[in-house]
Amino acid sequence: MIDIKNLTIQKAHKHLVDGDFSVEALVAEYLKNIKEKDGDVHAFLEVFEVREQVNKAQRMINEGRATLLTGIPIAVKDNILIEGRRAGSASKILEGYVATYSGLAIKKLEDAGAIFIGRTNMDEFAMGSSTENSAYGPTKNPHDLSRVSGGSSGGSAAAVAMGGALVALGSDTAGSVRQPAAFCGVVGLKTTYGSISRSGLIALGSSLDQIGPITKSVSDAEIIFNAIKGPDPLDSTTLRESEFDAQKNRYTKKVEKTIGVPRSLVDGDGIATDVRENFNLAIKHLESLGYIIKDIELPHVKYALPAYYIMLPGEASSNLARFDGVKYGLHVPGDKLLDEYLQTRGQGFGPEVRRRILLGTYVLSSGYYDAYYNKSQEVRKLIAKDFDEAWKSVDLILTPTSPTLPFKLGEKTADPVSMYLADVFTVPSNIVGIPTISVPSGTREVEGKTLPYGVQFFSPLCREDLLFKVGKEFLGE
Amino acid sequence: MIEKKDIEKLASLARITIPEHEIEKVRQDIGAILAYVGQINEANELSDKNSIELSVESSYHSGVKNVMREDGEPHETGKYTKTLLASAPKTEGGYIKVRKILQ
Repeated sequence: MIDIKNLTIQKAHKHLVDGDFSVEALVAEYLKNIKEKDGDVHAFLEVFEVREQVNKAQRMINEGRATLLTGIPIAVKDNILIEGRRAGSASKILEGYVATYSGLAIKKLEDAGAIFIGRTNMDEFAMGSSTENSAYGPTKNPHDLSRVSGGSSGGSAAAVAMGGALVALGSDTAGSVRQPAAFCGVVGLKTTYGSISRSGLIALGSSLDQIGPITKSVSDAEIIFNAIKGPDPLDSTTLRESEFDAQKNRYTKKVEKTIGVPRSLVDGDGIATDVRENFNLAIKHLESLGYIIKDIELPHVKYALPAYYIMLPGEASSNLARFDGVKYGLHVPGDKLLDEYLQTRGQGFGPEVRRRILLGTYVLSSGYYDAYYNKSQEVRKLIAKDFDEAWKSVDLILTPTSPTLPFKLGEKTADPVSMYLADVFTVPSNIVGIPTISVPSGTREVEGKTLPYGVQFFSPLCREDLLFKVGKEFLGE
Repeated sequence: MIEKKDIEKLASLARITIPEHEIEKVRQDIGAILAYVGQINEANELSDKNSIELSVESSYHSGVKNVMREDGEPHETGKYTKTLLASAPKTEGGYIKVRKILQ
């Protein structure tokens, strides 16, 4: 019997190399959990046949070629392509699509001998904060099945929380890794824009998207980040190592162990009282660890969310133009080519996706482009300047990850704007490209269930190292 | 104020059929979202638009540039054709097949 509850990548690696258990036995534990729990939770859209991967990993271990990730079971969000396997962004429009290539992050994990155990549920095309927009039904929160798992990477977060995988990959465009991680009581990392290649990630908002790990510990998130980061000729926005280091060095020797709290954001409307109380406990904990807490102002951050809901639909409407029933996926026959486009896209996309495509078409149309999309890019610069100013006096910023505890299934589905507000704390880092990590921050009993809180640390560009340091201290790793 | 005909126009531009009975709900939702995102206009009044210049430190956006490469090293012709065509709903003789557009 393997104790997977307290397993980390490093511990699993040591056991595998020492021969305490085999890759097969380790993977079998996770598969058993999936079989027992996933009927209720619905984290996975598909569990893969793993035989070949298991054999390959075991051979690597036996021959002394094991990496830290050899034999580690990883769940992968349904918008990340693995060559030869189904991928569909949880959308009917990609029904039947089999990936024709793997992106760099997947190739690196594959080379390291990791085991892809299955593909996880998500909001359709990563549009949502609850996984309720999946065309295949929602993922429920493993801590309380009447509540959402968060989103859009809800399946990945739930998979890790319920012991269906040791780690998972998600994608984060406005908090889609961090918010579900917080809702499921695990760690979620969004890294510097350009640090991890987006090749093989089905595009949502190209100026915002990053692949990111969901794990049970900060150390595990760090291991995955180090394994999958790096430049890629197939993603021209990736940073070369020298660029990453140069940016990183801009922030060395500035301020140390000083955490800024944007009070006006944390105390704003719509932030639950219990979330604020929990947040204040997190501050006390950090003070006891020797951190200095300072109030800071980020005057334009309150415009991050409205700006996001202009730039994202714009970019998404353009990215999703490729789904036309001609090249792949669903094809609805019609009398004329135009009818086929109209019908395929009308039937293949769900309500939220259609809504955002129409909105994107509106903000990019010639009469409104300046008033909306261009203005959102100006706001983006104002927010970047706010952070720039803040980094002069602090080296980290702290906020709650979500304005509420996990909400009930169906609670926010009728009103899109109320769902959008779930991203209020997570979206600023995507807008300016900075790294942010969400870590568990205690729990609360609600209706007999134990629900997790999360807080998130922001750092300057390319200072993931600061996030790992403070995250480990915060969790006592 | 977004009207029904605006939604129909957007749907046609975006090549999406919206069923008649859903148009009113879509109109209300988009109206509510546009009212919400309209807040950003306040932000720009706070600052002189022309003064926003970013330092290299601010964000990756300050360093955005086009990344080009020289043409060259093409892959062998047809190397990926079969794999890629296998994804297409309708093909014929190594081509993707679509409805005739010129009558």
